[in-house]
Amino acid sequence: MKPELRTYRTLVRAFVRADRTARIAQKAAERKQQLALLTYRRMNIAREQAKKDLDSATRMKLLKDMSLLNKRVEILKQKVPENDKKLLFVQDTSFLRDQILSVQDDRHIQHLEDISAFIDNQREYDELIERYNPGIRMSQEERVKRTANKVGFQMPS
Amino acid sequence: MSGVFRCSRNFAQALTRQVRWYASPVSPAHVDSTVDKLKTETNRLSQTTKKFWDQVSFEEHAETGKLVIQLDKKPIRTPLGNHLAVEKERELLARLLQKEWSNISHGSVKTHALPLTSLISRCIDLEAANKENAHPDLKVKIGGNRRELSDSLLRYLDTDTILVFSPKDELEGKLRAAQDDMYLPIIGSVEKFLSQYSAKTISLQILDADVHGLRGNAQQPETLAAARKFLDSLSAWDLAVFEKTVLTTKSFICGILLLQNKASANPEKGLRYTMEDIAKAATLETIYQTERWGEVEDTHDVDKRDIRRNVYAAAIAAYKP
Repeated sequence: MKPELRTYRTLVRAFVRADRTARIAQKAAERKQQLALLTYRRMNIAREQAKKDLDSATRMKLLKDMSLLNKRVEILKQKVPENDKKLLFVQDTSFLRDQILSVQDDRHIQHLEDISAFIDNQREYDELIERYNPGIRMSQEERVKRTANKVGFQMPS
Repeated sequence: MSGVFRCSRNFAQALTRQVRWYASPVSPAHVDSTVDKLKTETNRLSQTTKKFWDQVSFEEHAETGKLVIQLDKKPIRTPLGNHLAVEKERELLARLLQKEWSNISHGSVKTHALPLTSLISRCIDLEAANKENAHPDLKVKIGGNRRELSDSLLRYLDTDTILVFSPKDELEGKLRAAQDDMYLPIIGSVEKFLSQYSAKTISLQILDADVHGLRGNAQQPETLAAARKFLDSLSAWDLAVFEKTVLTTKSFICGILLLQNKASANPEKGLRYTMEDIAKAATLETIYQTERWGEVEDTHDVDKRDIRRNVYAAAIAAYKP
């Protein structure tokens, strides 16, 4: 294999691994947002249904909408962000490809290797810090909740 | 509480690092505390440790032609208030900086997660403070006085990692053999390299545990003069990179090696080393000691990664296309 290609491969691998955590978190956040939106719409429909002066056609329509929404919520809940196949690919490889194609000398290749080494080491450092300091990424909200739980209290929701 | 807030040594370190943006593992000397109070993005992040943006991008600046890294279309500023920007030829570096900020996903942000940004910010600030018509206060604020900076960096040459040799009977002589093998050629080449900056031939004073026992080490005045001349020949940008390397590896010589290999297209003969070699040279004793006694969790493994990420960050910053 050409040295440029090998460098390209290590670079892409480094990027995929490094981005994984951030992308999972982003996906999870998006999912949460969507779920909240769907729940809100379900609530609205339920409120409509509770009204007394409805003709049967609208009632049928509301029922249909409701089951449609329920289905979407089910599908969304089954999706696990960690298993998304998209996580195995770099979103935008064009600039990496440009870099590889514009390689002129060994010094440039070495630079690209340095970059993948930097990304790898940075990722492993972050992983180690997280492993030895559980809860370091916890939000303040979560931390307060857990602290309250320790003495048997529940935070008001 | 203790379970949730368990503070190990590294976490405590990380917390102290948070206060000073430039940090990790040692913050440069003489950085003024008022710098932390400037209202810049980098300071805001280190104080609130909360993610406060959605989009990270970079854009060419209309006047300077540099690529400016932006949060929600507003330029990121360094601790001194300069734009976090790099030359157009360094698009890759801009991409890496962008990535560093966009990969922060969770609520709380630790500034040690941004080693490249902190190094580049230091480079930019040092450059700005050392411009001819720059306000003298700027130098004081970030400890950018080159004379003082050189003074503190030169102290590393006295007790350089590469110049300290362990006793022959330790670890069955394995460590000493490896040190002789790795350090002696480096020392020879660096002596030759530093001799360019002096009328005399430079010889570096080493500290051999068998001969000198336990004592401090000091270099000859002419060695220090030559090393100072070398430091004066560096651009402000390179000096910041050099500083980062020296603080990480605890070795002046490793700084020379890194700049020779990355900042110039043609390193001096005998000074060609990869970044992995530099990291290995800086941690040779640890390598052999952990081989014998075992690795301590949360210490050796973290340090290993920490040194390498910093050395590689310095290599990336030093590289000029």
